[in-house]
Amino acid sequence: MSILSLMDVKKFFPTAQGVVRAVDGVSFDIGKGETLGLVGESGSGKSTVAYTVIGSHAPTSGSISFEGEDIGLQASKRPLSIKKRLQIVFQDPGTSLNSARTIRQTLEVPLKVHGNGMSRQQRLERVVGLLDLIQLPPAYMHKTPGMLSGGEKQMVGIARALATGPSFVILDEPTSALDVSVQAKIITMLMDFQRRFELSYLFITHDLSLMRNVASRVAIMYLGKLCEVAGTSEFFRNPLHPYTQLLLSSIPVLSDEEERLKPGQVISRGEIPSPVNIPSGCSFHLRCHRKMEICEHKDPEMVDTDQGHRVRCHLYP
Amino acid sequence: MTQPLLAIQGLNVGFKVFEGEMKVLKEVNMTVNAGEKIGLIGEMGCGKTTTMKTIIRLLAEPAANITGGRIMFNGTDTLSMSRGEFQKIRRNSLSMIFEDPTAALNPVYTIGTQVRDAVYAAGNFKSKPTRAEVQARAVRALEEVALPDPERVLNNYPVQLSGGMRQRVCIAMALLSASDLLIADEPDTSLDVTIKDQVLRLLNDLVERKGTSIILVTHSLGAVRKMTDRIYVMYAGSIMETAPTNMFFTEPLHPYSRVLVASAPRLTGRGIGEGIAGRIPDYINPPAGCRFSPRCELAVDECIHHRPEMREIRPDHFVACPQVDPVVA
Amino acid sequence: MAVTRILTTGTAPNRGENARRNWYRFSRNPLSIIGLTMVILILILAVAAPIIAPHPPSAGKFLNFSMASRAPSAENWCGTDVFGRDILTRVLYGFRFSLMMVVVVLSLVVPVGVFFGLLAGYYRSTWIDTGIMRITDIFVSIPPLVLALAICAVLTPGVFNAMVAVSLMWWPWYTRMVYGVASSLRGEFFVQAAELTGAGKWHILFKEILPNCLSSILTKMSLDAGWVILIGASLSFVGLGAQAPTPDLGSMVAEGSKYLPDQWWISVFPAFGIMLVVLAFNLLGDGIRDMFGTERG
Repeated sequence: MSILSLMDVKKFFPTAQGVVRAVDGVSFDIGKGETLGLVGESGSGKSTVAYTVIGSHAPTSGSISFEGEDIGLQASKRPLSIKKRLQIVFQDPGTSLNSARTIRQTLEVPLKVHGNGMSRQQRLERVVGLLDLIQLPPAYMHKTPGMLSGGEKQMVGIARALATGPSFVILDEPTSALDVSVQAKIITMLMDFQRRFELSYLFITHDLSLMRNVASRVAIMYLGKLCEVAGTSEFFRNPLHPYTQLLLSSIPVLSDEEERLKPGQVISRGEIPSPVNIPSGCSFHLRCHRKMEICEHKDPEMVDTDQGHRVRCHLYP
Repeated sequence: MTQPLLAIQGLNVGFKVFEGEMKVLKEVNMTVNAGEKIGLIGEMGCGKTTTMKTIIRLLAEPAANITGGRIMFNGTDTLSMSRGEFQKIRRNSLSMIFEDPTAALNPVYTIGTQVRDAVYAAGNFKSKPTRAEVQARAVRALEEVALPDPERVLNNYPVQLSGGMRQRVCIAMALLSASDLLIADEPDTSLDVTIKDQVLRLLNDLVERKGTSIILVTHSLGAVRKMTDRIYVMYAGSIMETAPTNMFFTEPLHPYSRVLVASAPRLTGRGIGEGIAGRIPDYINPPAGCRFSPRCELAVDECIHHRPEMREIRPDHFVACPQVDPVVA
Repeated sequence: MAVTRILTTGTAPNRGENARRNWYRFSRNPLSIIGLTMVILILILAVAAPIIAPHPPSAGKFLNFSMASRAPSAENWCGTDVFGRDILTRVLYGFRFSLMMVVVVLSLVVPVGVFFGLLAGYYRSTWIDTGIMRITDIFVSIPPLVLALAICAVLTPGVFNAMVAVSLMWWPWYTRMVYGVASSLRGEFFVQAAELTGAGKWHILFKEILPNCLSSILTKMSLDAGWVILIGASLSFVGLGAQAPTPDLGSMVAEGSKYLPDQWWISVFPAFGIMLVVLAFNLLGDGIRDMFGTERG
């Protein structure tokens, strides 16, 4: 039973240069307690997927359902109960907290909105509880974000998302702006919260090695479309899409053991084209090391190769 | 033994702020030999960029204050040089590329104007060059960094190029005046993984071909492993460990290096470490002894009170930690 | 229990700390301190005018032609005007007037301007934005002095109407400034976070966005204080502001200008007074800007 399901979701933005097809027909399901790692480079549309799900804007077409309810609407039109159960942690801890307000004031906002008339005292206790959850001392509630380190800010961001007791949290590159030692700490915390509170995550990232350790399934996105979706161990054992292979091959690793896990040397060439001007056929064919003639004019369909390993490439029938 | 290209000796740098003086760099020692590829690794706010800016004299004085140490470049102390004398070095043998290629290029001038200016500045002309000569050198510079259609790129404004292309332009310009040493301050951080890979490869090929030394400053352990000969690990303004890169990744010795390496997510998927508790120390009142001691699991009394000496634990592998035992290593 | 203790004993240790940090930033430029000192001095002089002025009756309806047009002397430091009134006294009372004008105008203008600016900025690209901003455009497009002149000319000239006129032409600038800040802040993640969790629009406007505009507003207020005084003086100078015998610096300059250059003191000292006040507020404003300027980033 999936908690979140996207069916052929499209999100186009009209701009002066033309229509940006930021998300162009994306479908996936996330099961209860699962972490889906949505991986892509900048401009791939992965963040647009996140913001469409959370309701920053309504999808152009397609449907999104969350715990059985259709939520293909802008957040302002969604019922409060959805907002309570569906939360987001933002990418940049620097701007995700209001620098003019104390941590306590920030954490109290969701409690005021969703607290069903919690008393001042109850809210205060809950704020202390939330700080305890992220292993920060209660005195932190009086601080402003400017006095916190990047990692601490991001932890407060996580606490804010958990304040309403959600069942699903979108993590939009929560650690990309942080150091690895801080990242490790935050990821450990997130994994712990997932078990304790039975959370499901949509983890947006560009870091495949991180997903190897965190995600239960991985989806790769390129120019608004999914290329490949598979369970994590299958995904890394048998990467099928040439773009996936390119991504894996580009990762700078730390040991020879990891080097052997990479799918050989794929020299990266070219850059992501502008999403306003998407190449014909398969949008990846300009950079593909296994390009065939058909790729230039026919966009491949997503096919299921093996028990939930889906790939969208002409190489695979 | 031959003289090193660059030798930083006991460098101390502080910054004056409202609360007092932030003693950021503490006794930094670092040596770069001709043609060597150095990786300087450390986390945000550890003083990597401050060290580099001190080398190339880009610190915002008077807030920044060099309180001790020497920076020997080709055998002369650059800290005691006048601005004019140093400018000559900066023009001909030393250059830097920055993390953000967008901010490093002036948006109101074409790439051509900026690259041609760099060609002029780098000099090496016997007589006053003609326009065509300068243009030819500019084109050649862009060809070197594998930019397709350099003539067209020269007519573009920075906004018309992608991040990866802008970083290539910056590399091209830096290489014009860096015949001896190129400082690359997180050149890959703002780029996507596939582009990052391209840029690092390019940088590696170029410095190898030209025999330029490079200091690659980054927080990406993978990039350092891929590209450098020797690694320096910096924490809170002090060098904690230095070793040949291969040796370091086979077995990091300093407790800080160990947690750092363990924190990096691996493709092998055996989970990631738990990170380091606490935060980087306050530079106004830094720990008296080892600066990592407040967060270190192995710390003993000695670590808290005495600055650890750099000791050669294995041949050519130096660690500033009294707890690392040469016998075990 | 433990929680209450945190609430009471663990009070924000950052308040005093922040104040000291702000003072450090402010005081790095000696000119800011000079500005601050001048503003405080002028405030004291204005408040204490009835006590310290050498000849308080001069501030009102007072005629003493035997003393008329005396040059500065030990008795009348700044001389006397054609009616024999002590100029120093009138300048001190003039400060009162100028400062009152600042207080009244800014307290009318800032809340209105800021409110509309927040509204328009938050609802950028909607009819609310269009409506508010086009109205401000209309006000801004008319030269300020001309607008004030027109308003004062239609209404009866007087101090109160002068203030109304100045306020009417002033609020759009606050709207525009706050609009700029608010419309860039509304895309920030912290605003999105509040929206997505379901916080109401008033919460977002006044609790999330407004505190981040305060530094710009304060800076502008202190810089504007000088301008308000200048505009007020200009209106008085052309006879549309304070009416005789109110001791207003602008009208004093105007009256005195008839007797230039022989009886220069009648206009020069009030003019000097205006200059001092305006300079003081501008220096203070620069200091406040420095104080907030480095805070971000």
